[in-house]
Amino acid sequence: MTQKSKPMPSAKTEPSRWKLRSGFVPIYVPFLFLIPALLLLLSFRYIPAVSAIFHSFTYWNIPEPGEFIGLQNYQALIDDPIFIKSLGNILKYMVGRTALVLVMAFVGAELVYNLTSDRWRNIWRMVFTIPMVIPFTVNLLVWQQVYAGRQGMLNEFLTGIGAMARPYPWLGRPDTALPALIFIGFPAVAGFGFLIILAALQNLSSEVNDAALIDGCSRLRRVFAIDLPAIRGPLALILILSLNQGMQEFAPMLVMTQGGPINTTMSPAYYLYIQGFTYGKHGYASAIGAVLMLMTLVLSMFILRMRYRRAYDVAV
Amino acid sequence: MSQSSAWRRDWPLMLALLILAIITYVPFVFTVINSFKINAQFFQEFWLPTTPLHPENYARAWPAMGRAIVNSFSYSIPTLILTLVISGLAGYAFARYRFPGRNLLFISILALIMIPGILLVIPMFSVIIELDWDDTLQGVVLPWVSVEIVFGTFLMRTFFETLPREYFEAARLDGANEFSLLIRIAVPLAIPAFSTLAILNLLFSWNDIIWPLVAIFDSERLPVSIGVLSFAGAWSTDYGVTFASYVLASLPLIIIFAFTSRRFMDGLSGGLSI
Repeated sequence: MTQKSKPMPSAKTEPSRWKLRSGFVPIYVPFLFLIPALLLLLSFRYIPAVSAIFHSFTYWNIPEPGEFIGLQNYQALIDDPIFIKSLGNILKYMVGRTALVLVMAFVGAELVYNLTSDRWRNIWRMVFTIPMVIPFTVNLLVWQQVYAGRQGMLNEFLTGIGAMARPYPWLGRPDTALPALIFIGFPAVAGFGFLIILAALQNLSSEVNDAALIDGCSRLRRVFAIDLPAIRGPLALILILSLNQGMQEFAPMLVMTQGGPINTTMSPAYYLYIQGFTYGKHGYASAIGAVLMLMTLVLSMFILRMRYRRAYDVAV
Repeated sequence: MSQSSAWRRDWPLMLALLILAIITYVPFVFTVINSFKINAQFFQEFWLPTTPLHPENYARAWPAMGRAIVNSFSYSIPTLILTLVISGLAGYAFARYRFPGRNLLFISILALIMIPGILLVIPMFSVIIELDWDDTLQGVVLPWVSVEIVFGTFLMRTFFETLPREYFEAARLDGANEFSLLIRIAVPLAIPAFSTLAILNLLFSWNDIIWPLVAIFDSERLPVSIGVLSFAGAWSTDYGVTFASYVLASLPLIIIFAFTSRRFMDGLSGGLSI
């Protein structure tokens, strides 16, 4: 009887691969729509990516063509103490910054989410969105003024309340410069992370919360037992974005410290910029970029593996 | 719940939020206050406003900052339009059609997210030097668009896939051609997705430092993100004028936000949580 049973719907009953799902349309139509995107990506993303990897094996000073030198750039990188130091710096920066942003965005979003009044929830959401539209450079320049040794806000505040006897140049000392960069924008609530987490919390079903409340679960316990596991998806997203961005961080160093003092805030991306555009060593800079790309890939894979090893998302 | 019991429940949260907000805003309020002082007033009174106000600080900062703002818009608006059009077309093609190489193409576009932007700056610089595109509009705009259409295509595809097929089939039976399906049906329905993309795009092009720094040599053509940096460097001894330039640089996006705040906030959280 088995032969007589109805055949399972197989690939054959579906329209074959190159036919279009709804109606029949000339095959060139989708490609016509894709041409502008593909042309741009080819000229400004794919070809430059290949070119960057290729030129990392060359001595290259634009506009001269590159001259093949094998692995010399990479060997020089390993022996370059500034580059090695920049790797350590960026690791600290990345971890510190991500921890700060993730924790504060979560705290801010929970505070707003737990309010009873819808009106106040919207007001606070707006309050912590407005700083995001201030140009990034302006934010950095304002924070340079916060940390400034003379006429700096932090110093004026600390000496004003008597916590410190004399002003301290936060960005000018090796031991405080990197932490100062990490704490830019403190308390770091206002940002994409806050908005994403708040949106995720507001999408959670209120029935679960009501049930927890009836069962006598305190608000604080609910935050850790229900909210936190339920929004793992968005949290992982923010983690990946923040770590990736931290790895390539460049602007705070360029604007506020120029990598100093004594290279304690040098980052690989800023070092790439200096080597490429100050010294014209475009091959060497490409090698830095290739290492940076490798590290980004490894990091992203690692996070995705961590996330999907034991994850079983229900709500998100 | 009555007003007073809501307050009794919420006051610790409100207090915590208020403290966070104050710390967040103090540096910016300080900047605005001190943008109306001359140096002597600034050295005398650090935190509070002083009289007389000196609005002429703004007049001094305006020539350079006004030019930078105009430049920024001249780069941002074409970037915005091209990004929306190109991402819309590509996202639509991926969402609505089945064609050979579709998945491979889509994955190879998404993979670009993994490549650090800074790595591509050097070869892109060599491209624009070869084309003689330094200090040109297209030299800034086209590379920016190429960065933004990666996420844009992803966002628009995700959105277009949620549109019911029946709309398109009905219109096709009525004799609409493929292009008018896109223009007459898909695009009007996709206004929320387009506005999300527009907002993220505007923030990106307004804030990016590295590409204009590399692609623009002429200081007259710098956008706000770098213009304010070089202005602050040149006027660093005059605090009031420097702070006034920070305020001027921030105003355009704050004004845009003021008129579109609802859509702006929804767009920001919606666009990234996908």
